[in-house]
Amino acid sequence: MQIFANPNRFFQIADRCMPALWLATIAAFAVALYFAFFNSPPDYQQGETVRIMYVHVPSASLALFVYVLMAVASAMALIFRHPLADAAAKAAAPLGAAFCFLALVTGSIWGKPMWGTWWVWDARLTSMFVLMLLYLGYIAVWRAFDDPHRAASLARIVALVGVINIPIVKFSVNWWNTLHQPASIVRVGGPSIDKSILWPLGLMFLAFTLLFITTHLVALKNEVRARKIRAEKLKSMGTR
Amino acid sequence: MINWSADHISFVIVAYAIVALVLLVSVATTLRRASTLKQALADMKLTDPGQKDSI
Repeated sequence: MQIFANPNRFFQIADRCMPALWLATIAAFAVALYFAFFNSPPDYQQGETVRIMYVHVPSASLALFVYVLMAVASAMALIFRHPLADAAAKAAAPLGAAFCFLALVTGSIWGKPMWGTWWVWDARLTSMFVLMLLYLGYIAVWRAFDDPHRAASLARIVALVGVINIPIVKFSVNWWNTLHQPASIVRVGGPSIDKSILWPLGLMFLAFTLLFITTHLVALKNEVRARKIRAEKLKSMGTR
Repeated sequence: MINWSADHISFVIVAYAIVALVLLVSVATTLRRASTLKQALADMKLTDPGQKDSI
């Protein structure tokens, strides 16, 4: 971990990986979309609408994963004072919010033909909506303060308190009676869906994850650049 | 193989279109910000993070 504590060294390593990461992301999306549209069957009950799952599930999974990542980074900033930890959490938030938004919208679009409604206030949908609010709240905290140290202190609390919502989202379908289906991939006894559908889903999950890693690295570097510019401006104001 | 004339196919198309739009906008915004900040660093004669002589 300590090798990455120096932002300069971290970015030297990240820059070397960047072209390969972009290529892998594009290739993964091309293969995943081919499987999603042309090499997977329609569901015997849902018909073609099952293909919405290939974008809905990776979006929802990443929305949860990114928030956990933000909470871990916030904890590292709080405990170890790692110089990149706050920046990593801040850079991840808009991407996590985008995934959360996509999970809500694609879920709603999938819900209308399958459930007959765009939205219900059941436990899974409501807890996912709360996650969206947490993302927006976290982003708002960073924008609300001119002093980044004060913003970081409050943002860490939002990230750490909000992470309580993650197991609620995950287990809401087990704890309460919901219109949303129970877990069918990460569950005791293994996935309950057929391999012909599981493969395209896994490929799309890989593509979404690679996109997140690549975009997050660029966003993280942006954050360090912005901090450097701010520090230089403050320095030049002080010497005037 | 997808059946383009199946029931509710418009829901699938709209869902994929929204996902593509949101992901492309996210990537484009991030890359555009990178370009703006890089230019700002260059204008201030500062090195980009990751370059050998940067702090």
